[in-house]
Amino acid sequence: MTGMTFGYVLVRSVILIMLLMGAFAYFMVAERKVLGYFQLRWGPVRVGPWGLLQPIADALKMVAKEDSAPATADNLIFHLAPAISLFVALGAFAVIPLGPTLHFGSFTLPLSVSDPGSGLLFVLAIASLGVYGVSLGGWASQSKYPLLGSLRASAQMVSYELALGMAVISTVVLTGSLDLYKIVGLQVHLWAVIPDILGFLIFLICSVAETNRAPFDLAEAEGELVAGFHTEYSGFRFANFVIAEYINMFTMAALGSLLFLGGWNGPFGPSFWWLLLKMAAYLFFFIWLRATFPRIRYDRLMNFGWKVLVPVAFLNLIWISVFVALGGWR
Amino acid sequence: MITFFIVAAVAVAAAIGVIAARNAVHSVLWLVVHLCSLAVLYMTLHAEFLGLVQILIYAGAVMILFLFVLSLLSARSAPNAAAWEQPRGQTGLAIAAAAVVAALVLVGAAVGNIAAPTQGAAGGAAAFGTVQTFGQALFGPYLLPFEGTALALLTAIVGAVALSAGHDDAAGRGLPATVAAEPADGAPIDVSHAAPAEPVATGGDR
Repeated sequence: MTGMTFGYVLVRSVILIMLLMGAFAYFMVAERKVLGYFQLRWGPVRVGPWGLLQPIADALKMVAKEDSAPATADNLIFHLAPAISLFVALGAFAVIPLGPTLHFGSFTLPLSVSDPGSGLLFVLAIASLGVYGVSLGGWASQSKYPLLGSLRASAQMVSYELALGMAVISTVVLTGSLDLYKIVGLQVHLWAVIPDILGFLIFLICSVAETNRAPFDLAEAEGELVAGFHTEYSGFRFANFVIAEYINMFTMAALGSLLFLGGWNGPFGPSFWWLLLKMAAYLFFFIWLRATFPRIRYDRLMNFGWKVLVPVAFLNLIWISVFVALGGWR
Repeated sequence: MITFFIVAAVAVAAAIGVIAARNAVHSVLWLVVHLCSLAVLYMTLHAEFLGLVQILIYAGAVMILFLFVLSLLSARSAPNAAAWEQPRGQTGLAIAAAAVVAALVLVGAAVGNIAAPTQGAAGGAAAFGTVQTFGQALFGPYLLPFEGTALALLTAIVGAVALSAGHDDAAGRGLPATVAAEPADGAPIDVSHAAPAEPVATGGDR
């Protein structure tokens, strides 16, 4: 790799990270606002007009807090775990294209940091490392609630990853590619969700469970586990976990839109906005779920994952394979 | 080539870390670093699919199960030094064995004239190592071994389920009737709730 290419990738990485951080900050405000309206209150209104400066106040508060660690904690891993979480979350987003490659004369600008031929596999591989942040954070805290939370989280994430993978494979079978650009390109006339509605529903449910969001947020069930795996974390290390969780949600929303909802294909107008619109709808659904459903019981969560989602995902994969064998959508 | 030496050094250091770490969870983490650096090595050899699957399966799934079991078994971080068995000459034997293996590999490389891994070596065939060629090989010439492996794995899964299911039955019969009974909706009672509250191993000194 030449120095020129390296610098180019570096610049794009920095831009992507800043974009994600900005998106995180304002998605946080949006979530609190929407949750507020769901519950007939205002949400944040004090800081800035319409509460729009709230993330700056939150960030200052997080940075200014004392960085505490339990005396019994495993020091190295305790400090490493939030960094692993954030690193994995950012890394997985690196290959996700936010739009078709732009052409300015002879200069081409792909809207993803990197484009390996099998980008989808790369996202899944990196995302599968995300469990480490959660499970190590809980273990290294060396106290009971974090340990219980992290055990729940690892079991849950490993279980739901299977069904999620099967749902993703159904799209791969349908489009015959692991390249996210090609997968979107093939959905110009018909979104993959039409033949693969079951796969999309499974992906939707699993993406909520994978990101540990309500109603599957057993790992940080405050009613029984204080705050689960990040009970002992404070200040910016706590913020790392939260940022990682939200960026994982963005990754899932982007993947869901690219794989099932036609990506940046839309009936009219510039393509870039269509993907953002679909991601926004997907993220709104996350908030909607959180505002509507109570947390489900842990044994039911595991039963649902293994005894309902996995078999249905297998059946769906068989149906999609038959569909493709009968001629597919072309 | 530079990439190879850096990543190889990391891989060797991590492998030493696995056996040198006093804490089982630290060992697991070193193993994860080792597996990930192996994945990078595969990718520099243009074995893209193998590298990604290495991360997905080994680092992402197998090691997480190791970690899961270890954090259940050894919840306490500080290793109990008194319980450690002191090595009795195994260190020397291990080093000797490693030297013999390394010598064999070097001799094999010299005699067999195996080319050193360079980035350009596999560059001739652009499709080498991609998911497509890998899949075509797997479902073409190697279909029978592949299906055989699948069958063996399925047998292992069924065996594991059968063994653990039998184990649960035996434990269930030993429990008092009130605990072993199931609620009306058919969901099994979590036995840990029924047991008298006792502090988790790590929480006692708080």
